[in-house]
Amino acid sequence: MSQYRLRMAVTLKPEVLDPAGQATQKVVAERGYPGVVSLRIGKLVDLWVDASSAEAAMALAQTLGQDFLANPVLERFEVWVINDED
Amino acid sequence: MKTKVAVIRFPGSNCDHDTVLALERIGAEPVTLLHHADNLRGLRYVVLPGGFSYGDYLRAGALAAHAPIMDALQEAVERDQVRVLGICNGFQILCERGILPGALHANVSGEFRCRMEWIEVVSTPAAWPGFTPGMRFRLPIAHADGAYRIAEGERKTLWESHSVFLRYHDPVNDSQEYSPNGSVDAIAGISQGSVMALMPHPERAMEQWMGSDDGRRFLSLWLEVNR
Amino acid sequence: MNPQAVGLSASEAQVARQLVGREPNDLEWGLFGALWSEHCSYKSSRRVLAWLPKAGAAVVAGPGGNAGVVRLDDEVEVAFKVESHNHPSYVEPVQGAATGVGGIIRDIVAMGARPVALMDSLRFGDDDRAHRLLNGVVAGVGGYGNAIGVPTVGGEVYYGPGYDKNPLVNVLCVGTRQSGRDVGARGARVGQTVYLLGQATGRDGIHGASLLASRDFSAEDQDMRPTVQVGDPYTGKLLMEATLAAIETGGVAAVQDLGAAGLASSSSELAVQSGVGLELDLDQVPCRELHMSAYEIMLSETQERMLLVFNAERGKEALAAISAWGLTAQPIGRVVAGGRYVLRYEGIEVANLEASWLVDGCPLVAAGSMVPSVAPEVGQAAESVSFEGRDLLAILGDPDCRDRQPIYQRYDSMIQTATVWGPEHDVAILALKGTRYGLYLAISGPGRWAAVDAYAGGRAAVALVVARLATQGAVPLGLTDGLNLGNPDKPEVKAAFEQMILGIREAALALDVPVTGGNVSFHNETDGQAIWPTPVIGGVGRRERPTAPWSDGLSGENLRLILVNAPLVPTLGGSVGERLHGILRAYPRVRLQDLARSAAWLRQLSQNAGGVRAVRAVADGGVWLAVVKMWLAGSAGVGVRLDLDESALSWPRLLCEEVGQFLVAVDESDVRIVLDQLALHGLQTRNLGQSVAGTHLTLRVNGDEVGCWPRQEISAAWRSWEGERGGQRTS
Repeated sequence: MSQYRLRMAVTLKPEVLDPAGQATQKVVAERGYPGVVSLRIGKLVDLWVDASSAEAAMALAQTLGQDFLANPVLERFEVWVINDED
Repeated sequence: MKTKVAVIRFPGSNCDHDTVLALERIGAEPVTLLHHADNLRGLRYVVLPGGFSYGDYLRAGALAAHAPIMDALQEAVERDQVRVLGICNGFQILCERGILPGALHANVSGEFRCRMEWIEVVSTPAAWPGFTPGMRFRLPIAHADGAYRIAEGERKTLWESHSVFLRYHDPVNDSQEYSPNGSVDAIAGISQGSVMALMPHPERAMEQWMGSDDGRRFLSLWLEVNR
Repeated sequence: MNPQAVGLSASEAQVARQLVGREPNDLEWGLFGALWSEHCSYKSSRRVLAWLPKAGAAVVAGPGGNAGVVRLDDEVEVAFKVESHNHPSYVEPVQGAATGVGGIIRDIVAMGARPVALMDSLRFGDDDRAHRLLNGVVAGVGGYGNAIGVPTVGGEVYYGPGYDKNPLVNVLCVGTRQSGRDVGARGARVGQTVYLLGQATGRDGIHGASLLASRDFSAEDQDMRPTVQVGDPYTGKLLMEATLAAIETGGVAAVQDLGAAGLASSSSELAVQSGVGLELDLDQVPCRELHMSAYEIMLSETQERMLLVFNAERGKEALAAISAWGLTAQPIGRVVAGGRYVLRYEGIEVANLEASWLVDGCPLVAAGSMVPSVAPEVGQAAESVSFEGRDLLAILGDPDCRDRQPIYQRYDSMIQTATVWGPEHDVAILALKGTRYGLYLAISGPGRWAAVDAYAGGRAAVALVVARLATQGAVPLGLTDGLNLGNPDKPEVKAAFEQMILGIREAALALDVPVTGGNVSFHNETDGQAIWPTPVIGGVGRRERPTAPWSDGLSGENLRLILVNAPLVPTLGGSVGERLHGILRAYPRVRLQDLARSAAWLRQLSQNAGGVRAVRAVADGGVWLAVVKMWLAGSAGVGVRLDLDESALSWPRLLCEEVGQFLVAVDESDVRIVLDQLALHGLQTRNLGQSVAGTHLTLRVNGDEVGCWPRQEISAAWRSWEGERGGQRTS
């Protein structure tokens, strides 16, 4: 068993309205930061997982994402392994 | 001559009107200023009202902290010591702007809380001698992000500089450790120079039938008028 | 396209073809499907709803518009309506509930009224998921109401097995407007321009109302669900303020909010109500996503949108008022003579119908006969059920009886600073500016009482609202009904619906209060299991001097506890006490004339309360819960001694939930006068006990002491939630 560190980005599905991102983008534009045409806000989840392999840790994280951490009605997620050097 | 008080309205502000009514109740003359104004029209008293601003998206108060009027307010505080009162969302905005130290974090319950609380004055703000230690007010809270947080090193400075203005108080157990939201040291309000802010809503406690009229006393002391 | 794909039956499709005189194209079928859905057309309910009394002295606008309106006084009118968002809340509890709140707020705004209060009526199952659903729904209601700045001043929540997969989220919104400010969808005139205001249109909730809410649920719907609508209270707040500011200028000719079936239903209804035609240019509709089809634009249920038409005289001022709130109204079409409804997209005419075919063309289901069902035999079996002290504590902690603080403390109940009484009371009181009358609000939706006898349940729902208003001496001005049932194609559901409406009708007539509008939600049925028929009734009343409420707490010792309008033979039918023993029989049929007399007595007394120091209406948990709530709401240092001595009737007396009974606390010196008054009104009374010095509640039944509990024990039993999540007090 070793410990793996994984990071999951939970984001709203692209077709779902993001009121917070929309309002933030508008203020960003008003305050004179040019070129930001869209801004969407999600969540970042860090996981420390004891598992037999990186693949097993990933598989667990995938299940966790589907069942628990992301809301399948509104969100989707990506997960990746983070190396200690990062 | 009535004292004129600026009440700042940001997009999505929702306690601005209640604050205007409360100020009228104690005989002041409130003037609503909008978020895009670039000056305070020379007014010496400013309220940042509670509720929400910009939906409290990103973080409570974070977007309002960047509104043009906050540039003007910061300048007026630094240059002219304009008297500022931040209520609830106003407190959050002042912290997000960096005018006051610390930050308001999510309540430990993870939930919005609306109910009456007791608060107690800890130290007299230099600009408002009328607030004396031990003075108590019964005022409602209504917030999701009211847990005051500050870096450990700064916390000591906060106490030493007598910036801790108000703490929550539990009259049933007479406890100093009670906090409805998980604030560090049960802090409900802080003050520095000509700026004070608190999470409870004095503008919602203006008549006995509202559950308390302690807000009259609080706002009158802030405005330095006798009521 | 196959018309069945948009939810139309073969015969409905045939009617549509005959109206159009040709085969409709896909977009037109989509419009028919949406507008002829149960949710939009009320095809199964319209003829039955016509039975309800809708006229009254205070009525300004009855059913048919976005909300009913009643007159508070010469200056102020009150718009109010209850609306359901059941199916969306099951799919996504937080956003479903949030968009439900947003939707009913827009309905009130579209009447030109400023929302001043919300109440929520929630139902959940008793399975494991109930807590998660409740948590999400409460977060959604609070998240939207708190942020938009409308206080949630009361509500109710109940539990039952049928709600497992069909939770109910009904929300009542109340608004006020200056008298004579009559806007709505009727004022559009030929030559005017149609504007769309608010959020850009996305592919949200396409066919949500017409397919999701108009059919039963099954497992495969999980994958069929459209993009969920997300509530945006920030945009909602700007939209509300901008719309009200525009109306204030006098420049708004017509307004209609976009809810179920989005632009399709709002624009066609506006055309029909104004008696005009519309030509819409869909290229002008601001869209959030690229390459949206005309079909998607018309049927999107993106939230926070409003349709507006301006008049020539002051339209420019109205548009300026909207700009001041940072929003832009986008012209999307024009009002034309006749009744034609024409849509253009990318330079092509994509639909051409009569607006009235969409709005009024749907074949309606015939109503049954207006005969109340025979009251079910209840028998005496359950009356012999025995109770012990611990049963009484269990009743206090029953999910249908216990303290609701964990829910309502998550709602802002004080914003707008008009709340005199909030959610900790059975009736809400608002002290509005600009009128000497207080606004009194109550909501009631007893599914358990309608489970066996929907007629009895309908009567009880109305009766409880009127009874709660009467505890403040308030005169009811109007009612709104939120009716929640299963699949109306099933004979038993149709029958229950008709009986429920008859019950509401009988009670509304007897208690002299009109029903000014509401909402019907059918298809609360998953995998063949339907909910209990659930009539949610909201009511508004008025009385002067709202800042001096009549107490509902026991304020001192030596007060006699008297039960007013006591039934001669109390029954446990439909009660929590009975359910404790696994029994659920028919709820009694409320004695409406006796309730009317009790309410009249209370209203008369409220002018000069005399020795009556506190009043509560008896409901769930019976006299027992009413006494406990009155005690806990009162001062410390006061105890209660209850003494029931009616042999076999003592337990039913304590736990009977028949509405119309009132618990009053009377100064010992005034007892005789009060009892004489009540006798004069022809009302039965029972002496229940009195308040005493001390800290305990003592109960004697037929001479035996059942319990003697300290205040903390009773309080802990009623606040049974306290241990559940590590306590609410955090430090």
